[in-house]
Order: sequence, then C-alpha cells, then structure tokens
Amino acid sequence: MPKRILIVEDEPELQRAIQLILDLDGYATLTARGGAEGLQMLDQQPVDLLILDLMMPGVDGWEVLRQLKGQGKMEILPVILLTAKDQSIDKMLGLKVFGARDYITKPFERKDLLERVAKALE
Amino acid sequence: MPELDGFQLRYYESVMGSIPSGTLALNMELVIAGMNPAAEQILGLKMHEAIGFPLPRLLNPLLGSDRTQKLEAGLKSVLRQRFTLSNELLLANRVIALKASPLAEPQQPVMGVVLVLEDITERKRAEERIHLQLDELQRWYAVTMTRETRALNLKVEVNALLRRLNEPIRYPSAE
Repeated sequence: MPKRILIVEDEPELQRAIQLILDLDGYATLTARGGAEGLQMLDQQPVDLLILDLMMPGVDGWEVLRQLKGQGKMEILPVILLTAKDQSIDKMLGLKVFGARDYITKPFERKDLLERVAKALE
Repeated sequence: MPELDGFQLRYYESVMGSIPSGTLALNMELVIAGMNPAAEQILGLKMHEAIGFPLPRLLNPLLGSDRTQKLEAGLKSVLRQRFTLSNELLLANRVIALKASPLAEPQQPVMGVVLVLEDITERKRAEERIHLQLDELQRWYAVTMTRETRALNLKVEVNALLRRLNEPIRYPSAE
C-alpha cells in the first residue's frame, strides 16, 4: 500500500512538479491549493505525510500548523515545511516550536525532496 | 554600559536563571536583546536562537498576523507612553500572561521593553473546572429547592384540608 502524501502548495506548477516526482517514486499524492482546503482534506482522509508551503494567501502554512498543533496532530503526522524563504527563524520555529519533521527551501532538487520524504516517513 | 567580568556574568546569569517567570528584554525596535531560561521554555527557543530577531517577527507564526500586529502596537505604546501593558496570548496551545513595562530609569529616556511571561494554562484550566463545578452546583441547588418548595406546598395543602375536616394537622413544621 503506497504511502499517502498531502501536498499543500498554492503555486500550481510547483504543486504539479512535486506531485509528479512523488507519484513516479511510488507514493500516492493528494493536493490542496491552500491551507483551508488542506485542513479539510486532513479531516476527511488519513494521510502519512504532509508537505506544507508556509507562505500562502488566506490560510497560510503557519495557521495550518497552529491548528494541527492545537488538535495534537503534530505528534502523529510528519510534516515537511516548504518555503521560498531560507530564513533561519522560520526554520527554527517550524521545527522546534511546532514540531515539523523537516524543512525544504525552494528551489530544491528532486533527489533532496525524495530523501527528505523517505526520511520523514521512516 | 560597563563590561561584566566573569564573576559578574555568572552572577547575572544565575539571577536570571532563578527567576521563575519568563523574562525578555527588547530594545527600542522590539528586537530581543536577552531572555532567561524560563522565557526560552515558554517560547520554545534558546536565547542564542532568538536573540537579534524582532519579537513580532518571531511571534507572527505563533499568534497569526492580526494578533501579532495588535501586540506590536501595544508594545510600541509602552515605549512611547511609559505604561505597563497586560495581555494574554495563546502561544502554541498554551495560555501565556504577558506584562510589558518600559525599560528605563526615572527621568531617563526609555531604552526598551521588559516582558514578563507566565504560563497560566493550568490555572486557566483549573478556573474553567471550578466554573463548571459551580454551574453544576447551582443547577442541583435549583432542582433541590424546587422539590423542597413543592413538598412544603403539599404539606400546607394537607394541613388545610385536615383543618377543614376538623382534624389535627399532620405537618406542624409547614405552618
């Protein structure tokens, strides 16, 4: 049974690229265009890993993290943060305060994404 | 500001470490200049990780932009108007009481803000439990009093009927 990965990313091209990379590696992917849709999908179906863009219009990645942490889901759902900003404070807050599993800075290499996904799913 | 020697630095660190409340010092730009171990625990970051970052930048992911902007405006008012601001924040599922005071000697310009943070999550939960218990007690009291009043009314009615029959009353306590 392939692992199910939810990709929450507002940029359609990037979302498609991530989806293709993961699909070709045998994962089952789901996609959401924003935080609100992502939270709704997480409520409705089981997911093994969340790949979450931090900077999105409307409900952003931080809001998703706040809600997941509030529901106690950060302890059971591995999350990889995805952002264009290579800012150390975002990385620290995401990993240390919210308990995200890993952090990828855009742009990223296919190999790097697959390695981090595999590691997060261990 | 004079340099601290090794002993003074250890003494200062020991004092800061013994303060049970989270304590942060911010400069005029609200940049974190120092914090004690209790503040590290509340914020989830070590001092060396947080130092040099504006507090609003650090709190924005935790609080959301609306609440961060309100807090930032409040802290700027503390700097301008030299008053103490008290507030409560929901930080990563914990309720934190915040007190912000201007950092200044009397008659001297303000140098920044001192923040004192208390994790009051357990106290809030206890208060919530007490409120629920009080509500429950009031409901029981209302139910019991209604039943007692009804029983008393029935005794009065029985006594009245017995009087009409020229019989001795059965419930003197209800008279």
